[in-house]
Amino acid sequence: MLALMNKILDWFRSLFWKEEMELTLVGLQYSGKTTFVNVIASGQFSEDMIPTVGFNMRKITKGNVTIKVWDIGGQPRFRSMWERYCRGVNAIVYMVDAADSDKIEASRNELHNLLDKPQLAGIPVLVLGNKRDKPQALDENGLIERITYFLSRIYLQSKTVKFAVTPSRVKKKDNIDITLQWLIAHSKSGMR
Amino acid sequence: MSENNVNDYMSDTESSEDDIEPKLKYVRLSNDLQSILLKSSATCIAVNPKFICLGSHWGIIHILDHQGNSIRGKELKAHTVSVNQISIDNNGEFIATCSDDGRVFIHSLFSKENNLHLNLGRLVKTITLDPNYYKYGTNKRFITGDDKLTLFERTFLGGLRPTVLCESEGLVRSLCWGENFLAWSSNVGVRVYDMNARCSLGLIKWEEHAGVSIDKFRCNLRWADGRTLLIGWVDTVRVCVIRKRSNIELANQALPEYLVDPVSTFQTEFYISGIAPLDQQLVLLGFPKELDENQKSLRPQLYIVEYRDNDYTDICTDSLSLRGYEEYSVNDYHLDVLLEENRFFIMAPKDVVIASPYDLDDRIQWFIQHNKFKEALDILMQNDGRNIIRHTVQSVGVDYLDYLLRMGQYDAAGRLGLEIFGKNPNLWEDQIYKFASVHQLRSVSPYIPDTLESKLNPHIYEMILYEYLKLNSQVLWSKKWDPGLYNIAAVINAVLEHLLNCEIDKNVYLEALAILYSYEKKYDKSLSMYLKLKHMDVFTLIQKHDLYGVIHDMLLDLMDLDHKKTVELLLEKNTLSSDKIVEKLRQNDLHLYRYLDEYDKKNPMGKYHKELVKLYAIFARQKLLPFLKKSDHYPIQEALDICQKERYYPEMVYLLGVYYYLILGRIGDTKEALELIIKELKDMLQAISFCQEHDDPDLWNDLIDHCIDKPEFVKFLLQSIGTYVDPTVLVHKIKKDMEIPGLKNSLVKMLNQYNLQVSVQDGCKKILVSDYFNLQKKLVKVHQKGISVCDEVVCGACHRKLIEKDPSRAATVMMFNCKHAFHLQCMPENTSMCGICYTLEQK
Repeated sequence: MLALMNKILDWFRSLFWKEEMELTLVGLQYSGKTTFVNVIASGQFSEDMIPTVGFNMRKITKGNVTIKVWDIGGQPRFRSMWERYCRGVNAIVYMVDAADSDKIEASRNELHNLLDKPQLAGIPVLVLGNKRDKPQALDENGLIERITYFLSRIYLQSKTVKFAVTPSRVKKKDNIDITLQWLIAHSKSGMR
Repeated sequence: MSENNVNDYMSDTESSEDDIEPKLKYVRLSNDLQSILLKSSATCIAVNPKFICLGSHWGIIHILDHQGNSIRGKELKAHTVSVNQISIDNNGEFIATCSDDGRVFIHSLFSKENNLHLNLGRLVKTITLDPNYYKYGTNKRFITGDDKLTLFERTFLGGLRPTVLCESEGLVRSLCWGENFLAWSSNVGVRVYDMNARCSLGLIKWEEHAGVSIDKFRCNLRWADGRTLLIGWVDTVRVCVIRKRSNIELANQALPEYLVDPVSTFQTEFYISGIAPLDQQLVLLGFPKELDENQKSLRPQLYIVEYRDNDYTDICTDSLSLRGYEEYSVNDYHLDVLLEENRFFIMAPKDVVIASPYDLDDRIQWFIQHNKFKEALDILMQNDGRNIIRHTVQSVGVDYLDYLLRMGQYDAAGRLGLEIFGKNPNLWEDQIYKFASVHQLRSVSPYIPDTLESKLNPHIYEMILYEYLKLNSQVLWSKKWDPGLYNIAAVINAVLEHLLNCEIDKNVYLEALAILYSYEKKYDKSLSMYLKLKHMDVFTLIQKHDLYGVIHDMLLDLMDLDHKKTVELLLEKNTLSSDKIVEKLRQNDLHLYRYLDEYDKKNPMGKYHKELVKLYAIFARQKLLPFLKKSDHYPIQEALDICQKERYYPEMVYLLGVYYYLILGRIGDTKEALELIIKELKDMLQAISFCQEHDDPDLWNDLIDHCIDKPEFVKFLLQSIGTYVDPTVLVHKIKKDMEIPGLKNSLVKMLNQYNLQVSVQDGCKKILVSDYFNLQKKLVKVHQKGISVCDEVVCGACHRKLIEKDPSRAATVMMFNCKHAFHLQCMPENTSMCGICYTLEQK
């Protein structure tokens, strides 16, 4: 009986306290953006993904929060569109392949370019290190060091951009909940 | 936004005047769209900031990103025939489509839950979603247009409730839902409807022109904002504003709250395929009314127009070479817009082109391409480089510079350099060689940085100087540049070399050399250059650099150049010993005189008086006598010799007087001097004053002896001598029978003088005597005065106070006229003198 009451209460709450947020997922190709979306949306991990062309649009409901996700292709030809899809969202998730140390430099430069856009000022950015389960992957500190090496000077101190590095392991669904909580918490203040 | 991988699409500008700055740039949408349009053709378009929906004539809805990539899994096979219209809600979550197959789709892009299928069984021409359809909790509404206008609302229980809003005015071809207002077109015109009040605000009737039936044309409706409606239909444009009625009007009659106010109506020369706002202007997609010679369609055109009440002006017109344009007519083209981005989507059945206003970068590029660099720079300057990514002041500036150099406007190029490079040496160094290659370094030289803080490669300055040397010797920049900027030795060599091969204007080079040498601190060389030039700067140079050491050898030249300054210089600082100077100047007596004359004024020690006597005798006799009298540092014998040689008698007289006095130590042969005065100078006055000076009775006698045989002199003597000697001597000496003119007068005068003297002496005596008496009286009077003995007065011997309050200790006091007082017992016995004054006197 109590359980039923709680369910009804939840339903009412969801009616009146339903929150919506919009976030954009960017990063170099093959860093696991689409996989990440799949995992948080349906809890399914699939090994063989094909590269995203253009973007994927998904809507995910977690509790009383509905998240609209723009998952943008990471290939170079799509990168000029990143700014368009990052405009006006509540948060930007920047995905980095922590296991591919060759690409970290390029990844960092792209992030730098993105954050340089005046239209994106003030939007919180979450940098996610993916593929942590691979043996050659960087640990949390290494990733922060590599990614924030020069960003830190420019952006971390500025109050307009929130910046965090939370290495996640999408494959094992580790940290996914932490990530979502971070996003929800930080996006609220950024809600328009 | 720059879709780099999309082929650049350049339109043919109809007006061939290249001078008009274009307003819009065009990019053709490609990628997956190309293949989609190969298989089918587009019938309608709807755009959202994040994606584009394209309806095809196969009835498929394609969702594309802004590069034309198809979004996987979002393609909709909605209809069986051409899609008539797609409508997207404001949040981009739902799309609504309709088609001639009679079906209506409401499709959620993110979930499948809220999808809706309807089969109305009519030719649904148009559909519009409530802009707020996505909002949670609102009753979701949409409107379809076929032969009637129907509003559908979701009911609380999930059912659908249709309401017919209008059905009598014929086929509804176009629909547009603004914030609170709805506009639609029917066979008679455009009607505006208030969605809140659920009432019509009126019909805007469309006049039919001869031979043109309005139902053959699609009406283009667009809400520019919540209250402004743009209508483009056939060849008529209307701009309407929805206004709120005033309260008075509302109170009097049962009128709707709002009214439609047509702001502007005008006819165009083309049929209208689409309409959109661009700031305060309109963008019109136009379809030419006339056909080409083969009865095919002409290219559609995009117009930007400025509208007025009944008229418009073309701001710019671009002809669009859309694929297959020959085959299409006015209703095949569509125009949609992202208002917040001013991004216009032009859709033809086989082509989609995006037009966007020239941003600052584009404008700059255009200006550069049309050689209007000034304008390009102005844009950069005005915007301070903000929002400009592809160009910088420097990049444009360099292009401009190249252009100016090509055009031969070298000075302008130089000035430009200053403007864009400022004092940045790196930027300058990169560009300056361009000036060098056309031998125009001179033009740029006034503008390049010339301070040590921002100096360029020294080589550059040398190049410029060298160019001046070769081509334009008159202006020598070396003067203005700090010598630290270039290698002086190199420039000197260049100038020297040039000097060898050059015949005219040597002076310019010599002066340059002088300056350069002085920069190099080779002052001797510099000085000799200046001397060669007879240039006055030599003196400042000497003063500035303390060159007194080196000028020794050049003294004579310097004196020749300007003796006053030279002397001044020599005396100003005594770094050069006067001996050396004198030694040097002995070669030229005049210079020596000038120097020593000044030297003596400053150093009256009499060092060179021997030389001076000689020099004064030659060059300035008027100074000789005063000098002789003033100085006692010259050998009198020599001076005498000189004067004798030159027959300078007054000087001789003086010298003789002194000579005997000094050298012989006696007042001896002043006679010779007197003789000189009388015989050579014949100057009685001087003779008398000479005698007066020496005041020697023998001398007076001599004077009288000398004069006695000259009646004139005797007369003079008689008149003036009386005051000095006893005139009787003179009178006795006058020979008998001697005729003296005016003797009587002279005698009278003499006697008078004598009398005068006696009376003066008497007078003096009287004065002295009376003075004595007066003073004596005063003394006595003073002595008789009482002297106050007050509290402060102390005894001169024991230094205790004289006045005692205690009568028992009172003592007799002795007071003197000198105001010293003593106790009687302090005084020595039998003294009547003040102890203090007496001792002082004794000392």
